[in-house]
Amino acid sequence: MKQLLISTNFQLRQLDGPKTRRLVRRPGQFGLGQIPSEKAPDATTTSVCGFCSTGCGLNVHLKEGEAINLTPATHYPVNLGMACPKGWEALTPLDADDRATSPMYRPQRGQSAEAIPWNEAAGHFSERFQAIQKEHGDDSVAFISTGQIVTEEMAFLGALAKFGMGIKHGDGNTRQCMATAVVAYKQSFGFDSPPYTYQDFEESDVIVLVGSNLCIAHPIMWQRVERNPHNPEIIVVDPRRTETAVAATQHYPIRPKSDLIFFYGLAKRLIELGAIDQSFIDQHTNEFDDFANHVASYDAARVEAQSGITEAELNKLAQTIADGQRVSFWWTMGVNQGHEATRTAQSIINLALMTGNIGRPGTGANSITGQCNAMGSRLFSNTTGLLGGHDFANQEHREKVANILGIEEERIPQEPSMAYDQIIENIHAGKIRGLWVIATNGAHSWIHQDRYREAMEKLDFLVVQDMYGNTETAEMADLILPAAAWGEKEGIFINSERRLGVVKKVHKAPGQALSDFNIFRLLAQAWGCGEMFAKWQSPAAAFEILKELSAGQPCDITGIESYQHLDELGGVQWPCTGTQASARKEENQCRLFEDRQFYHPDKRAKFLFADPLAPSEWADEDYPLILLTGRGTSAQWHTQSRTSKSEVLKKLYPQKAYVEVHPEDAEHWQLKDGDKVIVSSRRAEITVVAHLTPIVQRGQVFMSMHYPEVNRLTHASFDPYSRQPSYKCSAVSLRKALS
Amino acid sequence: MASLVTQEYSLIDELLKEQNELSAVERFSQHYTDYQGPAQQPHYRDLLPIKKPSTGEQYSFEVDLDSCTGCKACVTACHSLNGLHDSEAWRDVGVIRGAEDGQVRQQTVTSACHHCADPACLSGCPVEAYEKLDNGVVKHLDDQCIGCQYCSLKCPYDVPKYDKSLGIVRKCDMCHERLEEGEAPACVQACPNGAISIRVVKVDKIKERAQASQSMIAGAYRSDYTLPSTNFKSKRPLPATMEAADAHCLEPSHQHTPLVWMLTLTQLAVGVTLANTVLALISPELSQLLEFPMLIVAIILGKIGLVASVFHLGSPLGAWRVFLGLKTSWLSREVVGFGAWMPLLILHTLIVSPLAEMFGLEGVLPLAQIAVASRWILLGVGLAAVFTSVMVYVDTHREFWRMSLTGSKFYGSVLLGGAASLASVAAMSGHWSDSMALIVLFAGTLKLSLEWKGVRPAFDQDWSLAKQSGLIQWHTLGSVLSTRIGLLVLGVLGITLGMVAPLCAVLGALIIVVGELWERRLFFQSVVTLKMPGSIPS
Repeated sequence: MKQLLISTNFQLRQLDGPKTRRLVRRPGQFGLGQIPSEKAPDATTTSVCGFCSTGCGLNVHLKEGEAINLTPATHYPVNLGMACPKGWEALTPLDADDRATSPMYRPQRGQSAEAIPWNEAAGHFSERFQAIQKEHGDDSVAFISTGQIVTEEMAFLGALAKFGMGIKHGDGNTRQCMATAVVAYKQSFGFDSPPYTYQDFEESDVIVLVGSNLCIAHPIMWQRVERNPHNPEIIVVDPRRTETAVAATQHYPIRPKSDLIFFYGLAKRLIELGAIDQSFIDQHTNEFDDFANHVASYDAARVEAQSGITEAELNKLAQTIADGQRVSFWWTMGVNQGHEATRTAQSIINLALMTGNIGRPGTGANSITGQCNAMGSRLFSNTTGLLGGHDFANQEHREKVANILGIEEERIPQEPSMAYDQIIENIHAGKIRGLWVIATNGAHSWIHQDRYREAMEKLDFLVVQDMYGNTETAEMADLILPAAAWGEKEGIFINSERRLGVVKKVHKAPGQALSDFNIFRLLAQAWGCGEMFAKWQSPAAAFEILKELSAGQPCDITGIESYQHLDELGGVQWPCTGTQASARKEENQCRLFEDRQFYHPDKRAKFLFADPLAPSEWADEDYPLILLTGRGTSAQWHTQSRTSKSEVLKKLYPQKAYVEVHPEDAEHWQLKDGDKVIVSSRRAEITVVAHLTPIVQRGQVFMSMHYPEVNRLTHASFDPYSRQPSYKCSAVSLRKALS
Repeated sequence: MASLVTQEYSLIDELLKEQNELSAVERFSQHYTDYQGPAQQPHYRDLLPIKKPSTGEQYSFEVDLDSCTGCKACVTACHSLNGLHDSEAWRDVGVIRGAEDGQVRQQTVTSACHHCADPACLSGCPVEAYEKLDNGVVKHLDDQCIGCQYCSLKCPYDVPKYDKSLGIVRKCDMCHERLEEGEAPACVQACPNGAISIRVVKVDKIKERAQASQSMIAGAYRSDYTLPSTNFKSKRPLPATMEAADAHCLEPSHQHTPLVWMLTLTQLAVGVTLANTVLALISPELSQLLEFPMLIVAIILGKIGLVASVFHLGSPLGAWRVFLGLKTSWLSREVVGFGAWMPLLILHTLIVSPLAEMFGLEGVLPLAQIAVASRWILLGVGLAAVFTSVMVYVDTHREFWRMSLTGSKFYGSVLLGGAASLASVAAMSGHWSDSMALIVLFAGTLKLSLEWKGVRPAFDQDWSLAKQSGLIQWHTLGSVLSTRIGLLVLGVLGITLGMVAPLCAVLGALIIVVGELWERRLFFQSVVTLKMPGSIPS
C-alpha cells in the first residue's frame, strides 16, 4: 500500500507515470535513431512519394507488413533524407473516414448514391457506356486520366479505353500542368525530354527560376539549391514576391503575361553582349538567325513598357547570365499556364541554347513537373501520344505497338485525342455523352468551373473512379468506383528528372476498394475485351510491356530488370538500356544532351518564336485587377482531397479561401485586413477573406488554387499549341462584403 | 452473359483477396537491417554542438532565417517522430511581412519552445510541473500537470498546448533524450535546408540579447520578460516594423467558462462581505438584520464559483499539490487565498448566525467582538484573494489584462456585488432605502465607464494590441458587448424599482450577476494572446 501511494498519487513531484510514458522514445533500429516506443517497426521499406513530381523516397516503417509511420529515406538520391510536410503525412489520408469503400450507384441525379456490389458496378459501366456508343457512335464516350496513378495503370487505362473499348478521346489532368512543357520540348528538341538531373541545382553558378515558387511548391528541390556550394546567383522571375523571390539574390517582378517580351528583350541584350555560344549554335541548332532578327525589335524601352523591368535591371540580369559558367533555367506553372505558354517556354529554351547552357553539369532548360507521375503520363497515358512516346499518326509506331500488345493495328486510332478543353466543349455540344474520370477532380480544378459543372450535368453517364467518394466531381457522378490509393498498390512513378521509382503496397485498402489496375482488369472483362488484355495480369507484368514499348525510343527503359532492381538502385533515370543502370550505380545520375545530339532527325535543336499576343481578357474599368492563382502552402495539394484529411497538415494552411491584396489597393477598395470581400469576375462572384500584403503588386490579386471556389472566377483561355489552360490571368473586381 | 457473370464473380473475389495481401517485406530486399546508429547523422552532425553545456550555459535553438523558406517539414517531423496526437506539433511556422524603402520583405519563421532562461511557464505553474534541466531544457512533467493551462497564459510565445484527451498540456522538450545520445531533435533532422540547429549559449549572452526591450524577432514579445534562448539570425536585417501575417486577426480567444464563473461569483461574494462590513459600520441595527441572509448569499455564490473552478482543470486529482507553486505562482496564491477565505466565510457566518444564539455561545464567548474581528478578517482575506485573482492575469503581460483594466473589472465586481446584494436583501426584508438605489447606480456607472476603457481603443488611429482587443469586442463580439451593457443597465434599473416592488430588486440583482458573467466572458475572449508570428488566419 505504501509503495502504491508513493508510486502513484502522493508523491510531491511525479516524474513518471502513464502520461509521461506515452512520449517515451527508444532506438528504432533500421538506421532510424530514436522513435516513439508505440511506433517501433519490425521492418522498413522504401517507396516513392505520391504527391508531387519531385519523387522523394520515403522510408516506410512496417509492423507485420503494414505501414505504421514513415520518415524520408536518407540515401534516396532525390531527397537525401528530407521530405516536405505532405510526404511526412503521406500515410494519414489513407485512413480517412470518408474513403470510398464500395462501388456507389446514383439512380437519380442530385440524390445520394447507394452502395452496390462490384459485379453490378461493372455491369452498369459497360451497359451504359456501350449503349451510349451504340446510339451516338464510339466517339461519344471519353475519359479523363491523371498524373496521380502509377505508370502501369495509366498505360492500362489508355490501352483499355482506346484499343479495347473503342473510346477515341481521352486526356489527362496533366493537361493542366505539363502540356506546355511537352509541346515546347517536342518542337524544340524533337522529343519530350526534360534534360536535367537534380544534381544540376547543385552544380550551377547561376540559377534562373521562372514562374516557380520552388520553396513552397517543391521544397526538396529548393533543398538542392541550398546545397549548391558555388554561391550561385539565384534569379527569380515572378510577379509576386514569393518565398522563393525572398530567398533569391535577384528578383524580377515582371507584370503578368509579359514573359515573352521580357525574355525576347533578354535574348536581344545577350546577343548584344556577345554572350552567345556561336559554335554550339552553328553545330547543333537551326533557325538562330531568324530568331536573332525576331528579337532585334525587343529593345529595353519596349521591355520596360510591358514588363515594368527597367533597362538597368534587364542589363544586370543579362550580365549575370553572361558571366555565368553554368547557367540553368527552370520553369513551372507561371510559364506553363499561359495563353502563349509554349512560345514562352521556348523563349527560355532559346536562352539556354544560344548561350550553350545545355548538356553540361549545372545547365539546361528545365521544366519542373507537377504531379508525382506526370512524366509517366507524358510517355504512357496513350492520350496525346501513343504508348511509349510514340505517335498515333505514324504507321510504323502503330504497327510496333500493335505487335507488342498483340492487338490488331486497326484498333489503334490514327490521330491523337481531343484535348481536355475540347472534350468539355464537346460535352456541351452534345457530341460526348459519357465520361469516365479517373483520380482527378475537375469540378474543383478545371478553369471556369461553372462551365465544367454544367458539362457534367449534361452527360448521360458520368463515372468517377477515386479513393474518395465525396470529391466535388464524385458528388456529381452516376457511378463511383472505389480505388485503392498510393501505398495500397504497386507500380512505377517517373519524376521530374525522368527517374523511375517504385511505389509499394504497404497499406490495406478499405472495404471493397481495388487498385486502379485491378479495376481495369475487371472492367475489361465486363466490357467483353478481357482476352485482349490477358497479358496485363499484374503491374509487374505490365511493366514488362512498358519496357518493350520503350525500346528504341529516347525514353528507352529496357535496361531496368525489375522493380527489385529499381529499388536496389534508388530509382533510375531514362534512358536506360543494357547495363547503363548498373554502370551509373555510384552517382546514379543521368543528364541528357551531353553528346549534343537532339532528337530531331538532323539531331539539331530548333529556335522557335512568335510575336506576343494580348491575353483574351485583361483588366478594364469593370474588372480592374488581374487575378493570379497558384499554390498556397507546401502543406496543400491541388484539390485537397487528400491533404485536408491530415489534422497536422490542416494546421499549416488557412482553412478558408483568401485573396491577397496590396495594402494600397486595399485602401482604394476600402478593405481592411481580415474583411470579407466579394471577388467577382465575368464568370462568377465569391466571398472570401481579404489578406493585405505587399507581396502582390498593385493592380494584381492572388488566390490560392486549393479552395474549391477559386476556379469559378478563372477565365478559360488556352495556349494554342499545348491547349493548357491559362490559370493566371483573369480580370476581377473587389467589393467589401456586408458582414 | 451468364457465364461472364460467374467469371466476374471469381475474378472479383480474386482481386479483392489480392488487394489485401501485403508483401513488400518479402519481395524487396531490406535496407538498413544491420545499420548501426541513425542514418541521418551525417546530415545533422554540424547542426549540433560539439560539447554539452557547462555551468552558466544552456542548449538553445538557433534558426538561420535565410535558410527558413516556409516548407514546414519541421512541424510534421516533430509530429511524426515524437508520436504526437492528431494535430499536435511542438513547432510552428509563421510569416512576417513589411516594406522598407519600397523593398518588400517577407520572412517565414519557424519556432518551438524557446527554453527560456527565466521561463514564465515554470514560475506560473501552481504545481511545479516544470523543470529547468541542468542543460537548460525546460521540461514539462506530464504526470505532475493538473491541466490548469495557466502556463499557456503565462508563456508569451503560446508554447504549452492543452491536450483535451489527456487533460494536460504538453510542450517541446528539445528532444533532449535524443541530444543525450548525439542525435538531433526531430525538427533539426528534418529541415531540408539545415535552418535549425542546436547551440550551447551562455546565459549571460541570453540576457544581453534581451536588453533594451528587444524581442527575438518582429512580432514576438519583448525578451526581458522570460529571457528566451532561441537565436534568430539573418544576414539581411529584418525591419522591426515587419508584422506577422496574423497580426490583425480578430478571432476571439478561448472562453474559459469555468473561470468566468469562478472569478465573477467569488468577486461578487467578496462584495457581499464588503457590503456587510460597511453596513455594520454605518447602521449596526440594519446590519444585525441583514448580515446573516447576505452571508448565505455570499456562501452560495462563493461555493458555486469555487466548485466551477475545478471544472477548469483537466486533471483535478493532482490539485492537492497547488501549494507547491506559492513562491512564484499567483495562481497558486489564488487557490490558497480562496481556500482560506471560504472556511473563514463559513466560520463568520456561524458566528453571526442564529445558531450561535441557539447554542448559547453568547454567554461563553464575546461573540460581538469576535464577529467584528472576523468580519474584518474575512473582508481583508477576501480582498486579498481578489487581488491574487487580479495578479493571475496581470502577470501574463497581456495588454488587455493589464493592472488598470483587470483591477477595475475585478474590484468593480466586488463593489457592484456588494451594492446589489445589499439593495436586494434590504428590499426583500422590507428595509429598503433610496440611497441603496443610488449606490447601485453609482457602482454600475463606475464599472461600465471603466470597462469602456478597454473598448475605446477600437477607434484609435494606429494599430495596437489595445485596439485589437477593442475591435474584437466592438466588431467580432459586438452582440456579446451589447448584451453585457444591456444586462447591466437593466439590472440597475431593476434594483431601482426595488422601491416600488421588492421582487424587482432581487430580479435586478440576478440580472446584474448574469451581466457580470457576460463581462467576464468578454474579458477572456477579447484578450490578444501573446505568441510567435503566425500564418494567414483561417
